[in-house]
Amino acid sequence: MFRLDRIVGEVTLIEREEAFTVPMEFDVKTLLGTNSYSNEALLRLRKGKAHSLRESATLVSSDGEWDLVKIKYADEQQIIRQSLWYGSDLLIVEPLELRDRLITALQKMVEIHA
Amino acid sequence: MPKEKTPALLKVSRLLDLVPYLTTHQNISVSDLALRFQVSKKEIVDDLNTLWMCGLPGYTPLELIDLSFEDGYVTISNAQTLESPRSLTGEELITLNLGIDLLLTSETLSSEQIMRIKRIQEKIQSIMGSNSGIISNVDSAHRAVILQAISERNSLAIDYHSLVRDEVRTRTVSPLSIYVDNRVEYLEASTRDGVRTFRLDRVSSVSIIKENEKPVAQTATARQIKAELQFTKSDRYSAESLGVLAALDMNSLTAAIECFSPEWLERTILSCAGAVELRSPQDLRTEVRLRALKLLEIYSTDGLPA
Repeated sequence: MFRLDRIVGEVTLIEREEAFTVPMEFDVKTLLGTNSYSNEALLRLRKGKAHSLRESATLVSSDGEWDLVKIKYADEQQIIRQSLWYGSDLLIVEPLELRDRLITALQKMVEIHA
Repeated sequence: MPKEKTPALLKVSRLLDLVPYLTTHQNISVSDLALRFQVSKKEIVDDLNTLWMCGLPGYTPLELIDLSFEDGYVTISNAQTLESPRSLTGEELITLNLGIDLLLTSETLSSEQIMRIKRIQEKIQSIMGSNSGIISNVDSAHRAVILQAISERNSLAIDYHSLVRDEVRTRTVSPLSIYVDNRVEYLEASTRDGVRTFRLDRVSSVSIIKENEKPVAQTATARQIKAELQFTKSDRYSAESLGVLAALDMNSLTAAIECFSPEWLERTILSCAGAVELRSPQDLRTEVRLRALKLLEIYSTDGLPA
């Protein structure tokens, strides 16, 4: 899939008929359905923080200064970026691979800012 | 809101519309004309009789509009000074522009149709002047309260969601103006920390503070930060979020930006997940490192902060 606002320059029509065939089983709805927001992460959010994230999250439990929430996400890289924005007000609990990727990103950041 | 038009005002605007209409619709019947302008035949004849008297100073038959309608059909000549249609009013322009914006979001348009619609929109916006975008995500009740406060010189209590600080805070501000920049509506207000701008769509509530508080001091402007960035790889997403897509030197992968909020810069660099190094300013660079270290430490103690 292509983000339309990232297409730079002109779009030209290649004037050749039957330039490609659409596969029989192709269905946009299935494609979008499988690709987007099928993953789920468990996050710990500091109470009163991460406001804009909370709009799309569901509360699981709440204790002390932290809320445990579930959130659907489409893309690992995207949820990692989002999580990092909130700094120490957000912790990834699950999935572990996601948590590990975030830790790797943090280590890299410490390294390049040494 | 537009003022209710008095019958006299209505008549004047009808007269102004009549001349160009008649110029392009010679020989229209009086009854069709009445139908077109949604008034009675008697009223239209009355209008035509008034038009008889119109023209340029001098008021001899040479300068007056020539009109004939005795046979029930209207012809007009010698009306050059009044024959171009009057321009649209502000309200009409806004309504049209809003309608066009909605139309453009429709998914069933062909590219040719979109081009045509955009050309019309450009024309309308050129009459309206710049900053003529229509934004729909602002609660108009808030705007009304703010405008009232500006005119009565009251202070306001606003609940504002600061995306950068990630918190909703209630602030007391003295509103100065509302303006539109790049299709986003802003409230400019003086606050305890000097003049600040607030995005109207992030204001979740507004109320007027009745006691006649004097507008707070208008000193202290924010420090402008000049930052140097080094990309460790070509990363479109990071470049977009830092707003340096155009300024990015693809050979050296460096870019320089200016911003006002250290908090925004630190958070954005963090969220680039290692794709961008903040070279300078030094203090913010150190802060980024400390934030990352702090998070690492929390994770190393099993994600449970001490």
